[in-house]
Amino acid sequence: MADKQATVYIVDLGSSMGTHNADRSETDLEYVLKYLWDRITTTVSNGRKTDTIAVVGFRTDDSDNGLVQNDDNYTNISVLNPMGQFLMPQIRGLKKLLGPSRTDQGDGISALVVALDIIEKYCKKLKYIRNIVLLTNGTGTFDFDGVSDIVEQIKEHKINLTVLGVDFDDAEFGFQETNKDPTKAENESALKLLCDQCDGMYGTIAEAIEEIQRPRTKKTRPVHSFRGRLSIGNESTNPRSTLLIDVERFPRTMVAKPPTASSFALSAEPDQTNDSLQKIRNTRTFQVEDEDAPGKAIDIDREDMAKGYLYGRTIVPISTEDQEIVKFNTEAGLKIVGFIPKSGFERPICLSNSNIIVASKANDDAIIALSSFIHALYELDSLAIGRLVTKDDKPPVMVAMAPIIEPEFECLVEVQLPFAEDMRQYKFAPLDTVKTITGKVLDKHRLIPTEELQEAMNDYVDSMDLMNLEGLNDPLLPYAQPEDVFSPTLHRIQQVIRARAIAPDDSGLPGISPVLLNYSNPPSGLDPEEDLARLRQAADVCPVPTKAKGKKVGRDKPLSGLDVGKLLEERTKSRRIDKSNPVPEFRQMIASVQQREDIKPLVQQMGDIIKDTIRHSVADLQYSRAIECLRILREDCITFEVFELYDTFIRELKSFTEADRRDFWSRVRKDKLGLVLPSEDGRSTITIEESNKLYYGR
Amino acid sequence: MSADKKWNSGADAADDDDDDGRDETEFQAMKDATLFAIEVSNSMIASPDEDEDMDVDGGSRKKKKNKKPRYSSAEAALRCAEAVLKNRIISTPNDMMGILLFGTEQTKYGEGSSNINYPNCYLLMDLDIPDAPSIKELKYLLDNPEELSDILKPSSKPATMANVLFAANHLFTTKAANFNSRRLFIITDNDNPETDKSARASAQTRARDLYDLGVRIEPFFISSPTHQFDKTLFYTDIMYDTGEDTTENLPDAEEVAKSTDAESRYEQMLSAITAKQAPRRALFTLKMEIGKGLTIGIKGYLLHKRVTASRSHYIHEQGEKLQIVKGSTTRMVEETAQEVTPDQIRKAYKFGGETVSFSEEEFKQMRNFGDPVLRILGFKPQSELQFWHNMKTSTFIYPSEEDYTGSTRTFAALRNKLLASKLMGIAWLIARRSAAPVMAAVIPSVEPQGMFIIPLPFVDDIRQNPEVPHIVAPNHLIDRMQDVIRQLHMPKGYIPDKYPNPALQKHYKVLEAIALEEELPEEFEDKTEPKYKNIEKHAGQMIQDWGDSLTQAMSEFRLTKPVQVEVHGTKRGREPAGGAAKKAKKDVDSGPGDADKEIRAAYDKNTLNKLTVAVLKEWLATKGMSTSGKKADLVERIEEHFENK
Repeated sequence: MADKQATVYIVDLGSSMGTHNADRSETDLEYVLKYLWDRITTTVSNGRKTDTIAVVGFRTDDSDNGLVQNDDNYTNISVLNPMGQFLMPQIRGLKKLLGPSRTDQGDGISALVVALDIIEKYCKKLKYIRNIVLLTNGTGTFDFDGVSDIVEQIKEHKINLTVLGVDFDDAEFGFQETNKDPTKAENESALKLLCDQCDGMYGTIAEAIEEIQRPRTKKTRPVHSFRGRLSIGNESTNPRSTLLIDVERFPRTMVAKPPTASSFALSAEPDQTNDSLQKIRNTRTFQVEDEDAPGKAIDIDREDMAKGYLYGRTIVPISTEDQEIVKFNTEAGLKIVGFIPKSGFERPICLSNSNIIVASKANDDAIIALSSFIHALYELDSLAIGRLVTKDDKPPVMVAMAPIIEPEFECLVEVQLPFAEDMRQYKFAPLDTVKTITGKVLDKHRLIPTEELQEAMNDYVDSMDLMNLEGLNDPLLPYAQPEDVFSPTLHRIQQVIRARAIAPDDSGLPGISPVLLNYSNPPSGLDPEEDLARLRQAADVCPVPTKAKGKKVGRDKPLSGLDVGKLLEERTKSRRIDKSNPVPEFRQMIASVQQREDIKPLVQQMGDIIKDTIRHSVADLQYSRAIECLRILREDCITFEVFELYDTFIRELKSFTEADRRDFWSRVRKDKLGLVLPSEDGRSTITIEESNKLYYGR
Repeated sequence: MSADKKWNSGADAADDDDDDGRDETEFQAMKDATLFAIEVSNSMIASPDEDEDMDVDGGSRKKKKNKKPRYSSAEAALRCAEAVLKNRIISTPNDMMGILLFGTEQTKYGEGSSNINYPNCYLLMDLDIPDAPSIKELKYLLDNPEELSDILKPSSKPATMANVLFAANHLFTTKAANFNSRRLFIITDNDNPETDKSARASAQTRARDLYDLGVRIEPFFISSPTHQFDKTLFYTDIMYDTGEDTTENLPDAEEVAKSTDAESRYEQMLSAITAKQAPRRALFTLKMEIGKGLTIGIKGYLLHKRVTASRSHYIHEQGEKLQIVKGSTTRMVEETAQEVTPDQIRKAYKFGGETVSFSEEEFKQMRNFGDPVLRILGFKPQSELQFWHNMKTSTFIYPSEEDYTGSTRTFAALRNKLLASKLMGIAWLIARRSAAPVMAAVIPSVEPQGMFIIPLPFVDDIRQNPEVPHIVAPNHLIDRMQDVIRQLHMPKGYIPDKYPNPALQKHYKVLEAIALEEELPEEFEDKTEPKYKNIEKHAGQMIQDWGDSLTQAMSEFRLTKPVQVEVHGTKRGREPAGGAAKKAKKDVDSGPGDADKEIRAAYDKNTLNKLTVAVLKEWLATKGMSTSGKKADLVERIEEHFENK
């Protein structure tokens, strides 16, 4: 896919790199390594074998490189990592080597020659993107004798040279070091000249570090998802009056997903230091229910299985030969169904990512033909509706297409539309009128905004106009334009993985990079305070207390407002829950109790009913009933602040199921109907461990 | 074929969010049980012609007569139930349905159970996931008027409402225990069934039981030309506000059939019932922060969601009975083959050839960008929303007074302003706890009244443009194309109801035919095909003119650009080759055993890459392994599997 790449990082490890400068808390080396590690881990994370890295240190204590044997110009230069794919062992190895040395001997330009040598030997004449990055504080020796040969060599091999220095002067970035050491100043200007001569990059490390704060977006090469013909009319019946254009379809938007984590098993013996995670293998077994078999199920061999579908509860076997009948045969193509005005188009019905449709690259007829289609659509302010089949025998989808005309590019953008079955006909009451039970229609009501509220809202919305603001990440873009917003989850997870990879022993996670939170709050450039205060007052929104919610205050009466409680009195007074109607009667009785101690017998009765249901259940047939009662019992015990009663019962139920109803307990666990946690009632002191202990029994 | 599941690769992004953080409280089964309770009385079974006689201004309607069959109210209700049944078997195959007639002369309530409890109630279809025999039975009844009228014979004394409601209670408790949505559809024209005080009181009590059980009563009232249904006489005493709508403001769908003529009455009833066939399920309950210190409550709903065909199952024939084979996956440590318990599992990322692991706590923390919220950052004109700014389905939002009183009026005021000034909100959205944050456009909706959240792409989601030579068509060619477009204009826009999904329809028609042992329909109407006759009639000439214009444009173009390498013609010779390739593949696909061999062989030859993603995914699915990720991931997963064998 992507081109092969070979990068050599040359790191200055002289003892002067271990000093602190410009009031930084980190040493020059630590400062430079921030950049280096970011670059290296970014490369590692793409996981490509053909994106290779070598690391060369200079001003090192030792000399270890391919050239030193024959030429002592190359002393105090060490190849820390030979060219190759960088993986975790390399990261660990390199980490140990990247400390300041005890010497300041060693020539930076010689190190550059070593790097060139590595690249030349590794890449030979093959197609590679070749990079050399030199990181230094510029205080050591740089012997520029014969540098013109090096420039030639860099140019010849098309090597991208980058020189980044600690506190190097950089007019573009706007940095100039005060009291600069004369040697450093000399080195800086010579290095800058070198870069200029071979079209390299030259800069101060601060800029580079600022640059890496910005998430990098990965470019994906466009891959077509459909190649075929756009048609108007039926070619087979009216070949003369059928419009055909060869087109291709590419994604315009596609979710960039964060890396996914895989499951591993914790090693049983935790003493294994290095990689205590063990790979997991999944094995699949197939079973059917069988009342007579032990475990109530029998294993099925793969050979004894056929394929089928469900039609409601009925199993419809479809043999392999019959598959053909179920299949809806289609032919790939994009058939135009008609054209609709753009103005009335309901934007929210679009239900997919968007795709680009362009003409076939090598087909001028098609390019000109599609161009006329695009421009005509544009001029008539219309959208095209089409039926798209991306491959033979794929089901069709309905799509809407809009024209895009840019200075050097034009295309159609296509988005999928719903079919009849995809529409859900939910009903919602109107927001501008209120209809009462008696059928009266009101336009003044507490649910309808007053004039005052409406005006305050209008002013507030006007004060929150984003159109004059610039992008928070790229000031050349408008505020919150998609091109200016990074995917927080994607970059956050990548950031966290990289940080953990280079510092596995650090506890906790690094903070969220502020860039990712840029758009999590309204912009500071607006001043809506006054309007907002007026709006708040006019809206008069009040949070509903949590207690009231649980008890459904005001909803206990039917729409007519009839006092059903009175009708229920006779029943609730009995305090006997009818087994055939447990849930309603329990709820009614617990709601009607006057004294707390009256609750206990109710919980007791409900518990007995639950146990009875389980006891009399044939296999698991009645389990759902019992679970429902249990859920209601739990809910109401929490609502009426007697969760202790529930906890007592659920412990009792656990031992009740122990004998031969363990499968019921697994339902309890699945539905999370165990002990009441502090998050559900503040008075609970149950810890997660205690709760899990009851669930899992260990 | 589990490849069927993914028949629409573009739309399945919609489900992504579900993976990274389902609300933990959603432990109840997300299933619905709907019981139709249809009253049988003299007026309900009266043939429509009779009330036409009562109708004074019936003259103009005669023309339409006989075009569509005309039903009595009870039969119309049954046909509605049948239509809903067939619909829901497609859209929500796990939901339950049942039909209970009341006021019948006959009494029938479950097999073997005592009928005495519920006199004059006739359980036509037990509350359960529908199956072929019960649909067949219903069909048979509707096709045989004599037998139907036998069942639809009213008793001399109507059934007591208390009994009807308790029968429903019993059905819901026993058959649909622990369902989170249980609804009783009462279809009647009798607005005052219980005049006796104590009978009334016990009906009210039984209704209250249903409310406490979480059963929602959805009445469908039929008014006749001579009698306007008055729900305050009885029904408002048994109906409760279940929190879905505010007490004072109910959507007015109850009075379904008031049209004076039977045909449209049936259609009214059908549309009212189908509109309610799927329970309204909120996707999320959320805080909407309109400004600092101004938070209201909203709920989100999916109004458009791709319905896909039910997936295939493995089945096993055991004696006479067909059974669905249940697959279960056991996780084992690869080296020791010991079973792994859930608490031993750690998630880790692959990085640099090794794994980078995090504790469970850290896993949650790294995805945490704060509490769920829809936070408005400001407003932009709606024209700023580009056509291509789309990632997945939109979500409809509607205010809720549950957590904040005053939400509705504030929301309404915002919607009014956005509509009037053609603005949209730009918002930061975290839909659920630990869901990935997205940027979204919030745009007002005229019908239904509310707003839509449209998730926007991030810069990372935007793909580069492909490279295509830029040649603009000459004006004369654009003009000809405009002629074509004008002729094929659909001024009403795109109406989804006109385009049923042909693949889905065919799938279920075939299943239905096989299940009901009917003839397979020979031809399927595919309404998504362009109306070729109309196109030819209205635009045929214009298309020819355009073609001529194109030929002219091309010769002009080639004169000005003689060096251009010309590539002629469209690729018409592809079909036969494609057909042959198809055949070959199908033979390989025939069964799990073969797939195994095929994959194994490909692995041995190192040609896994050459297999299609569909094949790889299907194989992975049969092994119970994850089918997510790119092709390279799938290949890697399969390689890993074999390496470890």
